[in-house]
Amino acid sequence: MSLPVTTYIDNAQTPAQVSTVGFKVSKPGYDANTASGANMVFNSSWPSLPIVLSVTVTNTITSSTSANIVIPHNLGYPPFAMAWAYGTDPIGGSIPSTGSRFIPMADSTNIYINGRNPPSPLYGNTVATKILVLVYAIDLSTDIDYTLAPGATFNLPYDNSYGIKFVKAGKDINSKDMRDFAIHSRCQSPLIQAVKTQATSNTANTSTVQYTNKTKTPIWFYGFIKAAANGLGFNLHVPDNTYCPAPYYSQAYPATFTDGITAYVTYLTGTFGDFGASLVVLRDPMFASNQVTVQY
Amino acid sequence: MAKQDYGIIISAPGTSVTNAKPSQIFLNTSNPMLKIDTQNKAGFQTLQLIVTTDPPNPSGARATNVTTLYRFAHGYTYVPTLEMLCYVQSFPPTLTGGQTYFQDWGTLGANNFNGTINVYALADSTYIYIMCQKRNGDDGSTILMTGTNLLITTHVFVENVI
Repeated sequence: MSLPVTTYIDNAQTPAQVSTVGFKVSKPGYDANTASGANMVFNSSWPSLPIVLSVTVTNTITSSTSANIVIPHNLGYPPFAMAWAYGTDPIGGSIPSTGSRFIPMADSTNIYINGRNPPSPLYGNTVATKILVLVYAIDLSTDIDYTLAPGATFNLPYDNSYGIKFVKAGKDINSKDMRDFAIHSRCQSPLIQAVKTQATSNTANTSTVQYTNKTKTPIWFYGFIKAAANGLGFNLHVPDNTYCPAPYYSQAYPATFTDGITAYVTYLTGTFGDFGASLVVLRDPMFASNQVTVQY
Repeated sequence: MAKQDYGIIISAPGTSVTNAKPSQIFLNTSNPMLKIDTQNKAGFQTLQLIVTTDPPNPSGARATNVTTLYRFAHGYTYVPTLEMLCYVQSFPPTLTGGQTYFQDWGTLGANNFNGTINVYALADSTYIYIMCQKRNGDDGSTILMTGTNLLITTHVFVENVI
């Protein structure tokens, strides 16, 4: 698929600080001081997704509700977050007790959830009863590029006598439930590749934030509009500088456009325009996926 | 004991751990990592989904019908948090304007009478479901899905929804 517009230029890079400080666990037979990324079991410098806030709220909004659910986080920066609506299949099926993900809005103080912010599984045939929100320590307003390559994917047999784990408060270090651990080298997460904002947009671009994957590792994007209260924020009932998701739509605003390698988000300017845009770029975790071919 | 009473924080060289910005923190054990269990095959899957038999059609103008295209057991006893990434390799033959890439929920396009097919992902306490919803056109026309090829990546995180 080609992008609708191909003349934008990538944002400038803001390289993350590289450091040899931290925890490193290398694979058996490799020196942690010299091993390459592919021979590491764990490295505290890998840009994983740290959860700074986990909260479950009762859903109080429906398709006719104009107000938002507001969840304070008080982080002082607008964080990247994910949310899951819990209830019967929201699209119209009958499977009960399911979770469906969506991306909420955020500013420097609160998370905002509004059923009008598409795509949202909060309501439909059946209103979701609860919402889980995970807030990550990723600042949507600050550019960063992780140029440190963690290494190729690997798939070695797991050795439970080798690695690192940090149990959560009140949990058993010998637990077999991975939820009980803040860090466990048996687990990985998608990694942060970059956060791009309008601050590093090329001057030739017109209100556009763009990123192109220069590696062979699969990546995906989350686009956001930094909304004005009398711009995009008007119908979403959010204040100035709220970051509102721009899904992969081709016919609406806000929208993220991508061909799988390059993605861009364009924001409207002017009297009823918005302030900027951001792209969060994530990459695959560092182990091979299970490949399955199925037919319906 | 508060979670801040023990643990490890690693900040970038030259940056105090007490004043560091998020991008300057390399590790903070008070903030759990979003986790995929590398020992759970269902945790990270790439599905090549080929539609060779058409899902059941709804009956009537603007009627809808939901079908499970594929499901797999995720291995947990609770509803896990799920992320689905979809790349549409080939669209239903009569639809236009579909999304080539989408996350969690997306449309494969529409016909001239507003008939659509949507694809989305769900998780319950046993399975991950890849679903499709067919919506007939305003004139009652049905839409064929045979010939649709989807490349779907699912990340099943260990964190529970509820």
